[in-house]
Amino acid sequence: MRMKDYKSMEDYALICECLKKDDEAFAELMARYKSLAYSIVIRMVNNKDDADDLAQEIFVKVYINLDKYHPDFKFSTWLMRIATNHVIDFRRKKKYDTTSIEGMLTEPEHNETPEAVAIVNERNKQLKDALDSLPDMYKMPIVLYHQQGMSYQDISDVLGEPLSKVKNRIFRGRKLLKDYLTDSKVGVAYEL
Amino acid sequence: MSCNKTEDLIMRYMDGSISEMEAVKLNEHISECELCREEFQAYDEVMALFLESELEEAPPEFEERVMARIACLTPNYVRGPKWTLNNVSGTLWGIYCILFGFGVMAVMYRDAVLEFISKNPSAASVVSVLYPIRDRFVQLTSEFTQMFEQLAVTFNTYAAQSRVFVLTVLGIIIAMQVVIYVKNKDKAEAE
Repeated sequence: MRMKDYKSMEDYALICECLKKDDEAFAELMARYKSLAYSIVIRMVNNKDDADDLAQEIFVKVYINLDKYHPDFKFSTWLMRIATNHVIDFRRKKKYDTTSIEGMLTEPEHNETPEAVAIVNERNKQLKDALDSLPDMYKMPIVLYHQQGMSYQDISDVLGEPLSKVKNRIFRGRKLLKDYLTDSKVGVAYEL
Repeated sequence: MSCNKTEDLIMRYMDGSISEMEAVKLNEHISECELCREEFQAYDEVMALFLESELEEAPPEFEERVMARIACLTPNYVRGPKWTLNNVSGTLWGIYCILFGFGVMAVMYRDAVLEFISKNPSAASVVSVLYPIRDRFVQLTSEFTQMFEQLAVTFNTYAAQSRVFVLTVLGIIIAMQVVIYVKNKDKAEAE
């Protein structure tokens, strides 16, 4: 039997194979987009175990609803929409405590000093704390734009919001981040 | 440039969509205005934090765990062609264009069409209805043509007499537009 070359297939062709219950096609689809989905989740929930579970649930949802995918949209956009809705639902149900950073610290590379790693961790913590201070309606578009590198139009498609609203939320989110970081620096100076 | 435009330009800088001229204006302004400079530095710090933040890879065995979960699922996929909104609207437009094309051809070659239809005995009743409609259409076309010809004659009469007046008024309007444009340009550069 001739082996199919899944790696050279377009996303929609893979989905058509998945609809014929070809699990290898789904495995290829997941290999392409697992990091995209995982990175969104981990940036919205600061716990690796929760992020792992959520990311798995997202792909299970994608698998169950593959027949509802419309080729009018990119697959990545459709996946991101499922991911963002799933994460937002999870945060609402859990009234998520956003202060935990357990397990989030960077492991030192071979050529990095402990001081360099500490600085990187401190900077990452600063950003995570600042992002966690944002309401979801600002945090989600900010994460999608600045950390996932998505365009305004893609974010508008993912969130199902008009383009102008997405832009306004990103601008407002940036302002809130700037104010939070500025205030936290002033606070540190005052304590010293 | 005034301070209330600084934030807009900083946002465009963060989007990576700031033009060279805008960047020059922003630089000039923040070199003179301490408050805006601090504002810019604060936003720059936000950008630096984003750029430093690391990419997150899915953990090892992530795929195996997902495949194990879906192995016990049997979703009922609804197969078949998807009638998306684009497909439906495209099909409707296509049908409309074809019908419109046939309609235009039927009007342009109405005599030939009617003659062709009249050769068919079973279509005699249809043709008997269509001939008066054809005649009325010809009459209306002729009336509209006469009306437009009359309007053209009237216009030519007045146009000849008022040509100089119209050209003078047009010249004044164009001159005023040029003056207003130059003034607005100078005002924008001064800001």
